[in-house]
Amino acid sequence: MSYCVNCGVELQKSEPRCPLCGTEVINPNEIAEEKPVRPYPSHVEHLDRSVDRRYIASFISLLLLIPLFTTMLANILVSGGLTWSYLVLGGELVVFTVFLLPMIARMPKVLYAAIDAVAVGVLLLLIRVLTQSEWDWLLLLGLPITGLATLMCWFFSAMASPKCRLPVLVRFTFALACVGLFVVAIEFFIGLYMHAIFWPTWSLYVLFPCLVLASSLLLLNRRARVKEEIKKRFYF
Amino acid sequence: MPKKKNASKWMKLDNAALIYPATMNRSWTALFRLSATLTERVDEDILEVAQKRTLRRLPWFAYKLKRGLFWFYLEHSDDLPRIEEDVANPCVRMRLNENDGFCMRVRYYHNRIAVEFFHVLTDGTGGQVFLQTLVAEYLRLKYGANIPRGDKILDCSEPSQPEETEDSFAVHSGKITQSRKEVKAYHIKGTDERSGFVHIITGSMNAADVLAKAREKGVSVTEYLTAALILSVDAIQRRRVPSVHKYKPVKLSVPINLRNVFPSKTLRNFANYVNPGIDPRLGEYTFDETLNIVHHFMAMEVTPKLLNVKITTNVRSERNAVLRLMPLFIKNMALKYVYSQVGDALSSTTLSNLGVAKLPEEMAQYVRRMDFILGPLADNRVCCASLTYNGRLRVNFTRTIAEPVLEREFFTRLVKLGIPVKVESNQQS
Repeated sequence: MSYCVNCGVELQKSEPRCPLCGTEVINPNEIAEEKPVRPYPSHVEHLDRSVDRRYIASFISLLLLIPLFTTMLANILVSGGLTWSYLVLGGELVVFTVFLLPMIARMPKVLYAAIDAVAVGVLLLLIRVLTQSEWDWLLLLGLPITGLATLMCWFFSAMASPKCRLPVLVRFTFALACVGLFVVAIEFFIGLYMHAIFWPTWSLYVLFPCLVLASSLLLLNRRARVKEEIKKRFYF
Repeated sequence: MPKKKNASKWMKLDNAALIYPATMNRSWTALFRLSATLTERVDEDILEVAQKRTLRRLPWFAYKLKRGLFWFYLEHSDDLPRIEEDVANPCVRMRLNENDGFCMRVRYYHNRIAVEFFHVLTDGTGGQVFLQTLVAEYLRLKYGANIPRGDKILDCSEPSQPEETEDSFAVHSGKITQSRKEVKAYHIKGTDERSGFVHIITGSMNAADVLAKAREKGVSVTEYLTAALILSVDAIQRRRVPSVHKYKPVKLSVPINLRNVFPSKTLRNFANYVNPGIDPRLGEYTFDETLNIVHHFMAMEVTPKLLNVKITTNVRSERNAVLRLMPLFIKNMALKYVYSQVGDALSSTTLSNLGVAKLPEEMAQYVRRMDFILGPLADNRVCCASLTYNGRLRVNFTRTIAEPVLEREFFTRLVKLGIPVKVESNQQS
């Protein structure tokens, strides 16, 4: 019988080394003995690898090429050149960056949002070029609202992240205020586009309730007793 | 005229079983394993016949788990589970489709017969009755052993009794409920193991040694082991967590066999948990202090009244009309969330002591050893189970991380307390 010099436990003869610390067992008196039966067989039952999302996403990306090529081919055959099929390209680019890219490549969340914004920008640009419309809707409406929406997505993800140290109610306060301001900004850009910047009107219907709700949440957050009450009442 | 097919038999899940299919996923199933090591090599063919006869006595062990619109249920099937060769990583997740839908599997290796149960079927006590009946039947077929049958070793020529499949939780639920909320406990973290390998380390002790030590302190063996394990987890937290303010409570989930508290003959789930523990922020605890805490905590918590409140809470949730009418897939999400809040999160690890297995002399002469192993838990990466048989108390640790920190801490602690420990493992050479 052998003992682990490190742990002080007796080791079953079948153990080649101490399972607790990995120290090898060499008992000079018992070397010649035949190999004892191990308590478990050597065959390991392997788990199937969990679904390889990266593989599936890459596969779907390849599938996306089928409608793209089909429309391009149809476009060439019908109009003798590539025209409207660029829209399909732009659309698929947005689908790819929003849904598939996060599964294929790992990068910081900010970068995903930035790439998605660029893809939407490209799609809008393509629409502008192909429809040969005015620049102003793109510059005054499309791109600014895309940019703002991106910023808001980033802000929401930061608020929802488990690393966020703020109390939950404060996070909701910020999120609500953010939604209200976003709507005001949309009205501002619409005004800009219509060449008439005036005092916000309809967006105030969204802004005020949001701000009122947000401030009441902030107040609630300051009252430990009320907070406790909410926790209690909403406990399930 | 062709014989009319019998209406298929089916069974609702018992109250404790409801959570297990909802929380299972592709890489985790709540399993436990009981095994008996015989004096000679196991004969697969005889084992198959023995299984068939045992399942005739306990037919619902071969029921298959099915999805209803609102709940999972167990359904009778005419096929029998296959007998498998054992593997190096016992209790690795059970995929029901790979297992032909059965919720248990019988495995053999050399002299050992092992049965792995999915927790929807039964708990440790029910599993033990199944294993003992299976082994008794095997020994009868192989050696003609005439083993007296009773409550623990069933007679396979008798039909199954209705009280064995009763949902005792529903029977023993009362009127008063309480919140399940508790402080979350410290969890031991480590390096994930390749493709879900499950490490088993068995520490075997002389049961009389442990009993003498426990008696010396005026506590039970379970309480003695629990206190030692709490201090082992505590030591790990003190080494790993830099600030005393960041220490979390160290608590152990200790399953309680409710059959010892309430009259019940059920062989399905009938267990509940208590979580004794210490708060390391308050200072270092000595072994005697911890023993004292565990002993009195158990005395306070393991009473028919408090356990009844716990049972009632669970049964009441099951009877909640909103929950009942929720479609299964939404219910699963809800149960998953609840489990993540009040399941493993409340304890640092589990210590399940099944007590002493006593076999009649006619059977004991063929059975050298018995083991009880818990399958990996959902969140906690290490857990342990123990069973005493033939004068040896065997503590089996199950681990899904690479580092055997808790095992080392626990077994060396027992050695220091004056209990010699002999270890073996499923480590790959």
